[in-house]
Amino acid sequence: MKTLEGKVALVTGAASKRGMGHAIALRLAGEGADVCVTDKFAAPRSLFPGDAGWGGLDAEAAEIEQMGQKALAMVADIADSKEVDKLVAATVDKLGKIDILVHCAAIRGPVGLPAVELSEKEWRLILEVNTTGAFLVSKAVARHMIARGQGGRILHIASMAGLHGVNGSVAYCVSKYGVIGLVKTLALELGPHKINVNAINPGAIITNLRDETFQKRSQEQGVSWEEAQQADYAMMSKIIPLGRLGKVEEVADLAYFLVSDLSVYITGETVGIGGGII
Amino acid sequence: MLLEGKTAIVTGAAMGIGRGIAARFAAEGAAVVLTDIARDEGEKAAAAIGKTGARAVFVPADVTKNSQVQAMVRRALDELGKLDILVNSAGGVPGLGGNSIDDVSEADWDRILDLNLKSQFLCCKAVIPHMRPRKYGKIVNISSMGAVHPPNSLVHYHAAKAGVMGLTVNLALELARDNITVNAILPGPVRTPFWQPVTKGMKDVEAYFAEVARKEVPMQRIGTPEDIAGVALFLASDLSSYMTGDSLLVGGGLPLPVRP
Repeated sequence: MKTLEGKVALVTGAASKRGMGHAIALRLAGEGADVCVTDKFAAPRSLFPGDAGWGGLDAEAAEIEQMGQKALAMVADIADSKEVDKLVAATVDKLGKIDILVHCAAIRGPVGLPAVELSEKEWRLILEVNTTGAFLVSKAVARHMIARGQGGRILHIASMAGLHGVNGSVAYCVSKYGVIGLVKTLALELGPHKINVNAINPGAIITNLRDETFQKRSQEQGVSWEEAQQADYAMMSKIIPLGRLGKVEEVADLAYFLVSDLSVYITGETVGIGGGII
Repeated sequence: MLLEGKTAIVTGAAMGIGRGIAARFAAEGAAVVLTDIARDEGEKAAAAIGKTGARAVFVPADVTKNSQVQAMVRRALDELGKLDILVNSAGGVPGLGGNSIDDVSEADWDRILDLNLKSQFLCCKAVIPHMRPRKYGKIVNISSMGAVHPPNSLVHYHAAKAGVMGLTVNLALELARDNITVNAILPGPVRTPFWQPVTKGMKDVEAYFAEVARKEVPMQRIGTPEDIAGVALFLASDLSSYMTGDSLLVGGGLPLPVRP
């Protein structure tokens, strides 16, 4: 028997082909869970040549169904409580319940922009999506889990930026500190309901998150996208003890661990995955 | 089966957390050498695992003695053919009692540091030469939540367990390029023979643990060896291939404070 058979998972921020949400949704389906995948856009705009033709949420739901599990694809803005409530209600309606929430949805905001230059508007947007969004989704799902009385697993993707200051990323950093505060408080409040709440702090993982940086560099330096990316990865690999960046599949393995029975006595924790960067 | 075809040494495997880990690894397909100073319990543990159809061999050793560690690892290699996984679970505070700085003699300090820290160093040192050439290895060190968040002073034991975290991050750095990952688990309260000196003479041990769980643990229950074994399995398997040098706190929400 598969270890998540009979479970229903909700995975947010799942539409990008090379994102952690996609890898996690497939990983949980592979372990036997039915999955609702959601994102703000059904098929996010991508700059990466290899993403051409990717069908977004619908393609992902088809992948999950191919694996023999039920799937639901929902477009929702997680920073809007009405949409979040609708999302949770639809998942419960179509898939029967929610046992597992993996909240991946977030935005990165400007990279390398000093705090004194950041606009109020941008600050508010990043906190609204990353921190308020995490609160709204957790709240709606936790209410459902408490009412069902069968426990549950809530997992957030925070960041190592939630543990240290990050030069030029003040809003992102603060937003992830906020997510970790949310996780620790929810763990205390939901522990008696047998709901575990944890976070993953990814280090350098190969995803679509820094596409814009690579596109900019390839234009500036007159090199291909791959060359710009490889140069960057080679530089970063030097400071990573394991000598390479991480893969989304490896984050998905950790996510699986943190929503499975293997980790049933872990709650309120942030688990780093950085190839030795801690 | 997450450990199909893998081999493991688990120290302190006669009882408690070590025994739980050995049993879990065997259930996931690993061949396991259990080692411990307690012969009878160790033989029984290996025999119980063997009955499930898994390969489990007990090799007695005092892991505070280098010659015995070397002999144990040689024997494990003979039995298993190769070494993929080492779990350093041997440890504890025999004679748990007064443990503040005034109560702990130099001899106590040396004994507890040897048992909880030096033993892990010796076992790592003995297995690493066999992992390195194969570019594969998973080392899991059992530390304690008391290393960073002591619920009360146990000065020698908690200092030793903090030392385990130092051993873990340094070895992780040293061995990363050989694809050997080294991680630590920091268990919170877990029901094992570790507690016997505390509960000795108590009329209602269950009531004692229920009270501790209610007052101190956010998840409102005391952990089990199986809770720790699940995490050890994760860190010993390829599910954790991009994690090294990390310390996982496993304490039902501890050290978060329970408040009304």
